[in-house]
Amino acid sequence: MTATTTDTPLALSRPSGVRTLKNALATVFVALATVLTIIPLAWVLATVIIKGYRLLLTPTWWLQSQRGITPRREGGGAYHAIVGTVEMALICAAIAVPLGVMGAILLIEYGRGTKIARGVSFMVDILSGIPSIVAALFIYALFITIFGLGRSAIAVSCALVLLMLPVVLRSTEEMLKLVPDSLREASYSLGVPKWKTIVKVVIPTAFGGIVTGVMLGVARVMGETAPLLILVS
Amino acid sequence: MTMNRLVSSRVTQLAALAALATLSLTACGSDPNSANASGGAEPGSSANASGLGCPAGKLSGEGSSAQANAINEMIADYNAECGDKATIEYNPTGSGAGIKSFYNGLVDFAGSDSALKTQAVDGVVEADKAKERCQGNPAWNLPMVVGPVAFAYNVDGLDKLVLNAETLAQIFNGTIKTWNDPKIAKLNPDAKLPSANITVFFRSDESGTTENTTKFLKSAGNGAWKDEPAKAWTGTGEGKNKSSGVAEATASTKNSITYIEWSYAKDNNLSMAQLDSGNGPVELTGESVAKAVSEAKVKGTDNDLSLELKYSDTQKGAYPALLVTYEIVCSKGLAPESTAILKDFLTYFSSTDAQKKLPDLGYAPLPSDLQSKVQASVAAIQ
Amino acid sequence: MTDTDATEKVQQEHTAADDPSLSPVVDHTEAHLHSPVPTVLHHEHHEPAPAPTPARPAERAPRGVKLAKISRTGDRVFRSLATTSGLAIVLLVLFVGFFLLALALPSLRADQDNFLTSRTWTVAGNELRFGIAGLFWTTVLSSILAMAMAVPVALGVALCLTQYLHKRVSGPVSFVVDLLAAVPSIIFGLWGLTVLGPFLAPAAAWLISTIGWIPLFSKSVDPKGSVFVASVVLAIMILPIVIAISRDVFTQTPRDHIEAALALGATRWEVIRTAVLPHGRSGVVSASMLGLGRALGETIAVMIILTTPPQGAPFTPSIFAGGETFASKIANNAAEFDSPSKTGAYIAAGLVLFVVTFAVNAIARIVAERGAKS
Repeated sequence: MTATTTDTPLALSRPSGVRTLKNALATVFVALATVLTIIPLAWVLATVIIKGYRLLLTPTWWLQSQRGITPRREGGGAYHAIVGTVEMALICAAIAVPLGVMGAILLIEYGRGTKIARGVSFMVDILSGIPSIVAALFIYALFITIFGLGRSAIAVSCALVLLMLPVVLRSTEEMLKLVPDSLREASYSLGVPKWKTIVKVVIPTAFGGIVTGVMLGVARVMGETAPLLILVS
Repeated sequence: MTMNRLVSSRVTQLAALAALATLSLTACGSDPNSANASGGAEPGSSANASGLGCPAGKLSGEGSSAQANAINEMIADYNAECGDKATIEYNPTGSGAGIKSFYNGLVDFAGSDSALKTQAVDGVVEADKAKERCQGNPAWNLPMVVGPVAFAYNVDGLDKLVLNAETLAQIFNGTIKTWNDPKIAKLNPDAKLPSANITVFFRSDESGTTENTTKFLKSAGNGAWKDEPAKAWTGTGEGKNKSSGVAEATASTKNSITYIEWSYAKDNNLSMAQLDSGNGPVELTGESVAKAVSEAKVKGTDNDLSLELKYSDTQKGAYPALLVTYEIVCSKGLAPESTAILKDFLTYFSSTDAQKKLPDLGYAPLPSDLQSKVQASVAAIQ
Repeated sequence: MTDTDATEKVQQEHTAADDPSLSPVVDHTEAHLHSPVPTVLHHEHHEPAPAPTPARPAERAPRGVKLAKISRTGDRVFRSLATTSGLAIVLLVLFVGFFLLALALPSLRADQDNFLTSRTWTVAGNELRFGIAGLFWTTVLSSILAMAMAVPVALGVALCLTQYLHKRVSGPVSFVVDLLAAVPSIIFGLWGLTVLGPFLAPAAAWLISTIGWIPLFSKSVDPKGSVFVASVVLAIMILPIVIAISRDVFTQTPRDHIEAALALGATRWEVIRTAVLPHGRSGVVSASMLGLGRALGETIAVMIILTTPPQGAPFTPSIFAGGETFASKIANNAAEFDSPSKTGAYIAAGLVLFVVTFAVNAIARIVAERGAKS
């Protein structure tokens, strides 16, 4: 209201020294943390790349297996490993993706809030907590001890299904939740049956996210070693 | 699992491209040319100079990892001789698993560090179950690979180390704690032994090598080793995973000692101790091991050649710390196609040419009288 | 009159259609259908179409609208597919649990030692003596140590990515950090054993010499194969999980809170301390729990790095000692599962690990939900 008589310029007050110091410390800590995180990654990548890049550039690495190559001979490549990884991942995805996507559809489209949805959700929580070695043990006990089947790639794929399923289901669930209800309502109001709505409207909308979820699951499963240790070698 | 920002659309496209590339590669890979394999032997057409029949088909084996190196080389050489007509697989899952798969009919032969047991263990008599698998015919234990156990150590400046079974037993069970212990010094009067503590490394996974080493320590150790031989280590020390882990640990830790297969010790350039079994220090060589094997008694009947090894009081120049791996086969009753390949492969395996290559790999060849017995048994397989 | 008849019929049909699981949204939509034109729709669907007389079609359907036949079978089939998947998942999990339990029970009954307190593990031969106390200690110690090292760092990185870095920079940096999650665990194990172990040896030696009098830090085996090195590697492995979730949580801090803090003259750190962290607290806790769960189940890296102590070794709480975790013990001995009793013992250990992991995950979920509600 009344201007002050003193002509103090509008000095923008700075925060006190202590506060500035704390702020600076926080910045330093945060920067340090980021650097600390990137260091091991860079280190691991550097070690692996420096030691291995030469082989990656040869076609033999990609196109030949290790058949006939013993630890004392040079030669051969990783073809068998590439084929094996791809095979197991594909078989696992073929089982886990339909199960996961349909399960998520059950949770979101058909059963929001119902008991069965809560039960399934709880079970998926349990499943997501299975350590990979326990999943492998289960398949070992089932396939090899009880059924007497031999060690095989399909046993590994089944163990990997247990590991991939929760990832696919949860991410599909998140994505389906994000699809706005107005889209569904619009579809229903046009007389489209529910299943067609899901297949033609909801899933295409969420498709990108579902693919991401599937890829995350496949990435997780491709790197699993423990089931292979127990079920193949 | 939350949605990662990992996939912006550009990254997704790149990743998809990479995945596609890898997938398309799987359509055009192949096996390495078998001409790459050693020897320069010409792939024969149907029969070849060494008299091998070279039948086609598949043969699978499973078992001991101690003989894995030997078998893999043998398979590679056999395929080189025979032009890759047969597919032979050997999965080194361990003796116990191998025997189990064999008597469950999942593989055609098993590789094992010990012969089929005739006593019941956990309600199962291995020999009986194997007989069932072979349709009522007995299964034979054929010794093929002799794997010496080296006692590798890593002590600066110590080129030669002489030990005997008793001292080793005491080192491995913690009774002897330092390198300059009087018992070690007595066996090595000229050596400069440091006063450091001995670090013992052992196999943390169950292993036939452990079992055979403990058998050696128990029978030759003069009562110093009190525990029963077993696949699981009962002594002192630090456990590492598999022979490769143990070798790596010994190579990188000063003042350490361990027991390990000769082939791994060679591959990692570890110094090995000489064994004194009462007749002077004996270095680990193909011949010294062969001498020890020649003193083994054949325990099995007819064509079954399970051995009872002699670990102490061996002749001069013999190195008695060894394990013999058997190929466990059906004397009769295996499918005809597999039997043909099995006989052919084992004939090659037991031939002098093949056995000659073993010392390079860190194994010892069969002594000649045992070798002829093995060859006779192989020929008798139906 | 026609209308009331039609309305009644529609109401009957509606109850007959019986879709209680239709979400309120759909119901809401369908309520719209209770107007003249759509009732005719339903009407037309459920009754056999009478022979069209010239006047009728004009009354039933507006000109130019082709009424499609709505079949319910597609819905039924699809819905049963979804329900079957759900049930399959439930049955699968239950089956896994009961199956493992059934296999483990005979060995547990034959166990001559107390399963929970014994530290011996002899399962070969006919006498079973095994207990998980040693395994439990090493597993919990290595995981908690890993979490203690990883969470502060992860917090820092998440804050950096959301509060400090410009959006354009934060994207690629996030990507790089997420890349850590893609590195297979066996690579971490080998790297930890051959590269990190020797690197940390001086630091370990220094720790032992200064605070070695605390039992937790007392001298033990060669530090290369110690729980300390394994924990560092585990910490690196769980960083991406904790960072990703914390980052998501921090981005969801209400803009108003941040702006209010800024308006009151807060420095950046004070904004974080007063607006971001309190809001994200439950999310960070749940993220740490998930990271802990991952560390508990990690097999390969731990198996390669840790040194196994000999049988009957005295218990030492030191982080510089070796040891075996549940997962590494099972993996180490996987090749020799040659008898049911032996396999049962290892399955029992696996079950304990499973229960612990599940408990940790459940706590994470509860904390997250409670946070989301508030």
